[in-house]
Amino acid sequence: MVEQARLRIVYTEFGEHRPPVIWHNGKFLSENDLDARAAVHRLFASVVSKARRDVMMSYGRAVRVGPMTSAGTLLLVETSLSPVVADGAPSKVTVVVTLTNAEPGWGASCATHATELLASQGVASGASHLQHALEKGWHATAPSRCRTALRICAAIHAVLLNGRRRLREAMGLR
Amino acid sequence: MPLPLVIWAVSAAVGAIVGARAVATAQRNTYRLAVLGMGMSGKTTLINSWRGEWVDGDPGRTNAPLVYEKVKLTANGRQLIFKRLVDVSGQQSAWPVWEDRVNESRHVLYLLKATHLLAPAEHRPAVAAQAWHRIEDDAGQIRLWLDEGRASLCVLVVTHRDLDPRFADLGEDAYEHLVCDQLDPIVMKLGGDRRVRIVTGSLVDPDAAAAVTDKIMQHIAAEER
Repeated sequence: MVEQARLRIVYTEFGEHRPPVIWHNGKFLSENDLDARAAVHRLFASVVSKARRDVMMSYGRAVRVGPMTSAGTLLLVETSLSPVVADGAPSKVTVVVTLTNAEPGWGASCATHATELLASQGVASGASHLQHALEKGWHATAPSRCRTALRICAAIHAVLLNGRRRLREAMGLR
Repeated sequence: MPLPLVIWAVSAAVGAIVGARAVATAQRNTYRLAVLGMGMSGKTTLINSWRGEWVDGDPGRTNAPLVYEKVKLTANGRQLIFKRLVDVSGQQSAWPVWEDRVNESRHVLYLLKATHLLAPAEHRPAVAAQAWHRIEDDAGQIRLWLDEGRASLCVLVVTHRDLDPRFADLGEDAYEHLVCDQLDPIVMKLGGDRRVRIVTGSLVDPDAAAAVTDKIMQHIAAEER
């Protein structure tokens, strides 16, 4: 069976006295594993710089990259964990998922998985809130039909223009 | 020479001069800044104040970076444009992202909390020591990036001055002297007085943030002159 949605990263920062909880590709990163932690920040920066859509919504922030050929579409969602307060600051959780096909239920399964991971580190979070954030984020970052249509028209125009130029060159006309 | 041609030539010349001056002014008022600092030092609050998006209370922690392609603001009566401003995480593990910012910027702002400069007796000893070590590590790293990159000035921005009890006791001038003395090892680590300036202030409300911005931009403008 083809995997539709896969949780890649769960990341949350606390106050000054506790290092961030980072779960990346199936394991929690230790506090001393600075290289792996740095790789996560690099990935965040890469996602944000390549973003096709980076939107703020009522549930937080959503960034979409792709679709990429093999890994599918990458979705980064950042949402607040309102019950958790560290050093007076509300914590946020950042979740990165890859999707090959957004079938019904993908949001619930990723949110449940992320909530369980956070709970194992003593971080309380609501699965339904996270699920809504993921699903709303996916819809909010969907490429608009109008933009896609314009892109297709531009591509057709470029191909026709190129073809006309080549034809004229072949005929010796300038 | 026919009159219409003279009028055309004069208007073209005036247009060219005005256009060139407008381009030169826009270039002069455009800055690329890297805003760095430990978590909760006020990076997001300062950037939000520039964007006119003030958030009462704590804006929370920045996990994934936020990119603002163009931010327009007024400081010291000048219209400024900050290009490609990035709000980054304050975690040490985000250093690769910080490095990219320094490499893409002409000026570096390093924010630090005034409470981290309190002597261990006045503050929680472990926290103060830990924060100071982190500031030293950051300074060493930023120095390397400054040496390699094209950034010419680093401004140390001491924020949360309002939370430092010494500020009320000493007053602004004496407090700034004290902070400058305290930060001397950090300034040396960053490359000395030639390359580093110090600003103190508070980000408690938009006016206080604007005052901090004015001070920062005074140093940057002076350095560019």
